[in-house]
Amino acid sequence: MYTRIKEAVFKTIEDFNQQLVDSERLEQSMETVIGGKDGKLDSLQLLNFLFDIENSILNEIGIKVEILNEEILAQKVYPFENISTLIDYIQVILNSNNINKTT
Amino acid sequence: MINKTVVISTGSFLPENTLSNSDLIQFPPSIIPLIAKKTGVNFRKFADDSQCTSDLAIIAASRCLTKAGIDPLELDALILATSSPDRIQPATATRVQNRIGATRAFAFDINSVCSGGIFSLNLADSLIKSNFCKNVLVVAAEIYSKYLNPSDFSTYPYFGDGAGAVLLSSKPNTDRGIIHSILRTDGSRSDAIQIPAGGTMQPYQKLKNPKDIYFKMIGKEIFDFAIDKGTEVIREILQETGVSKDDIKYVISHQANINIIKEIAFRLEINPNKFPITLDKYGNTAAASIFITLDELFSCNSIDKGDLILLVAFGGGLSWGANLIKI
Repeated sequence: MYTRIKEAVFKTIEDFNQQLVDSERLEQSMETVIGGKDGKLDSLQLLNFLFDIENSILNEIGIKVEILNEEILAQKVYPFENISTLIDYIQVILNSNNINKTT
Repeated sequence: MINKTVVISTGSFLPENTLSNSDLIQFPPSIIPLIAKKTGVNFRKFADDSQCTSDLAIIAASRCLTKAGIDPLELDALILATSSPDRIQPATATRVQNRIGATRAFAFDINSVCSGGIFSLNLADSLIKSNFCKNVLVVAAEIYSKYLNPSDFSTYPYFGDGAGAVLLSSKPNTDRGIIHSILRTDGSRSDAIQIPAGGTMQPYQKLKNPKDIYFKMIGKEIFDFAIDKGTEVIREILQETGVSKDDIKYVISHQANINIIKEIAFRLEINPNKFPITLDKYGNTAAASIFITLDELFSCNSIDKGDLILLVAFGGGLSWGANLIKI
């Protein structure tokens, strides 16, 4: 699953870069910093990016995942340090959804 | 005594089609409240498919001339500030000149993006003070909705369409009029706000990326730039004219984002109530925003003869500037 999430995220980066100014584009790397003070994206762009990832995971993997949940929007959790932490976070959500479905 | 450039009248036009934040159904409902929170925008006006920028400008210009009771034939020049022109060429101002019947006036466009209104007022002031013109109509009109990517949450919800106009005339023996202007440009950051395609740098027939037809900006950089330069240029113009901030009735700021305007007011220690807000109803209408806001103040009789008002704008270029005007 991790590999499929990573592919979906990297595909989102490729598409998302098209709407960014050249100097602002995100590198397809696990270390790319996306949010926070040192991130390349402002808060609205970050939301847009996460929204696109939700769509990409639905289209590529066929699973509806809600990254933009209340905790994120209230900034109670902040898993957007870089692409690696984001993918880990998505995996946690998907695993949690899976556990919830099976219990 | 040098004649002064006096504001005679104003006008504006907003398209009928209103979209509220909740009408933007392409975005997840969970993030819709962030539009108002992050920018202060609740509604925006979008032109319909058949309308072009000059259509909006023509109505704003006609309303302005009607209020002044001036014959369009008395206009010597028509300056149109726009960064969303009808066509690459000719100047959008030429269609406005024809449609309002200002056949004696020469007409041209200025593209200083959101600072276009400020730059145009200064240019009109120069034309009048040099006795080249007596009556100059300055119009700012924008239709950004046709350049926005509907699926881009970081741009689409924040802009709107609209037009504003200001009629300026030469008047002798008065202390009223445009007192001073400051115009600034930092071309090293010209990529920070742009529509990449459609010009000679990337013609449509050589389009590299389909999304290059849309408006793009580096939001992080622009937010800080707007606060820093907006604050700085207000300080400069007050200092250069010796006018106290307490004597300013209104600071009419470019309506980009409520949080930018609040921060400028805070840094300058100016009561935020002196900064009229229209972006909540109309979104960011780029160059048109200060003229639309000015016209609303006139329309509700909030400005009297003799009031000192300060116009300030910042935007693509990067460009920024201010005009100090005694009404």
